[in-house]
Amino acid sequence: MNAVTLAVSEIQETTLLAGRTLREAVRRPYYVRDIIHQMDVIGVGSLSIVLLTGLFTGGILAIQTGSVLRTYGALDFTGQLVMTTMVRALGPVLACIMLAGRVGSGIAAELGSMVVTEQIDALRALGTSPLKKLVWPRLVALLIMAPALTLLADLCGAFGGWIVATNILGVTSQTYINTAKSALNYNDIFGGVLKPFVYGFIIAVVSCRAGLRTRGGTVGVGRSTTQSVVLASILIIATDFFLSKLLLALGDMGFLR
Amino acid sequence: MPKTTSLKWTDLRVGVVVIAGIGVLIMLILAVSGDLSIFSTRAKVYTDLPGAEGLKNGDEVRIAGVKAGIVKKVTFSTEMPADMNATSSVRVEMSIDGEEALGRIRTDSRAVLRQLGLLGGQYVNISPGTLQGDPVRNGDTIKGLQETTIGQVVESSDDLLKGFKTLSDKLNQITETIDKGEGSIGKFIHDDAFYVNLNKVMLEAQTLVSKIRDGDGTAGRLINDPKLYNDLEASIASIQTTLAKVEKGEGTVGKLVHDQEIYDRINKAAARLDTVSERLDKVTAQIESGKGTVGKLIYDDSLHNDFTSAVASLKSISERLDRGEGTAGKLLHDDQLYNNLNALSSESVKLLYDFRQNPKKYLSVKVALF
Repeated sequence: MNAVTLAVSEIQETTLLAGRTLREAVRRPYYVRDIIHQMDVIGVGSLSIVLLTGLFTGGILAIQTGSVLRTYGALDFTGQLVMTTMVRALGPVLACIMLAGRVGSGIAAELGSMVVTEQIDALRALGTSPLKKLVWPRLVALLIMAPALTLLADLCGAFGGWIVATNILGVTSQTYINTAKSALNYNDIFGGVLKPFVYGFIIAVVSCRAGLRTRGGTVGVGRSTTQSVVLASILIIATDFFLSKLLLALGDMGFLR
Repeated sequence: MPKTTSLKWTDLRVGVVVIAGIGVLIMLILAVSGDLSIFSTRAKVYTDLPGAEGLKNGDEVRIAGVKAGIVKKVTFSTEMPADMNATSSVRVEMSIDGEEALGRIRTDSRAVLRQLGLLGGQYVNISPGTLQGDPVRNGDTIKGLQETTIGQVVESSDDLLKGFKTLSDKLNQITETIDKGEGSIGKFIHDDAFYVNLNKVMLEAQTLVSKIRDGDGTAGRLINDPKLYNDLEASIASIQTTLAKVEKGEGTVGKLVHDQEIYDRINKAAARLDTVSERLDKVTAQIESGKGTVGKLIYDDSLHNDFTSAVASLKSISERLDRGEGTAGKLLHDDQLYNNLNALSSESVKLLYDFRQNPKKYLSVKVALF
């Protein structure tokens, strides 16, 4: 099996995994309790790491662009720059890469261990669909929590930028808040929610697939974990490029203004 | 996933379809954003420009300001320019998107280098072709134009700056003069005489106003004292009464106004005056014709002549008198008679005195008959 066919078969299996999961989700039971539990683990558990990432990213943005903006006498637009960058690009990407690192690896390791210890087979033997019991709650939790965490990260980024701008760059608080507010339009907010929704889907599907295909004992679990993080991060950044293109084009066409 | 290594392509249908789907999606996204023109043809059009001014690959090409493609390549012209004024030292290859845009470029289109913003950045603007020109095909060359750049504007603004300098020098001189307190404006600004005078005037005005307010003098009384007003009112009242009387025909004026008689009298008097003046006319006519005493007096010059000769003889008499000629003259000028008379009178006084004292001296009438 060469690399090309391996890649194609991997994409095929991943697609089938996602398709089957969605198909099975329309039938009872819905495992609402599991979904809530995963949301707690994935969302609330990742809160601190995502918020800290956002806070410092905003601060870095402000301090790095401040010197350039000062050259053109446009220091007052720091708020606008931080807000636009956070909401459009860095917020979704960084928050979701953090999620891929923290949550994706966890999912892959958990499911991988279950495969290795044949718990998945046991679930099947008991008549429970492992896709529905294990994959579906994680998918739903990520689809809901990724946008929520991203929005909080955006806010924290703006706050971090505000701290730097007012204390280090010398921008007045009112100016920063005004320009930050005026920076956004509906297209930005729509994109800022759509992107983490897509990335959450990527994280869930990629890490579940990596966990479920684990082979070769505990070594395989480690390999699956690594692969899930790497693949999810790369896919997130690559998708971000095309999604940004699409959203900008839609914005130029006057869609969602 | 099958565990055998003999995986056939037929087993990977889903994977292949998904990859194809993702590829189409990416292309669609790029097509929507305008970076990928998969549904339109591209045409190469060349132009020659005098200079690139920093134009680089990927810069925009606009037709009448509408984005229509990108710059593909900027190279030097293959031929060496003939002289300094050559307008084709740089050859620009442009990629035009779509048949519609290409149709707008005709042989009379001109390519011009334009600046995108103040911070730099160039684009090629192609003026839209007209029916005067023929359509341009893929690989054709259109003519380029030199447009005034900011650098050239700066160069040509040298004269303007010189003019400004002269102007500012003159202004400088004027302000210096003012600064030194020379001239009317300078004095106005630096000398406080005007201010002092103005101040004085203001003070005077203040005093005047205060005096008027206090009721001193005529103006003050005029404003403050109600007497004049009262008097005026009283006069008006009396005038009113008088007028009322006149209205009623009382008194002389009233009769004058209302009585017919006085008019008749005046009329008669006027008639008499008329007669008198007629007579006077006649008299003057007679005088004019030299009749009568007055007429002769005015028109006959014999009297005048007599008068003149009389005056002349009087003049000679007086002259002679002046010179002391004749008896009268001597009487006026020679005081001998006066002296003699004086001596005579004093002698007479003495004589009389003596006569009174010694009347016998003189009254000793010696009767000597024999």
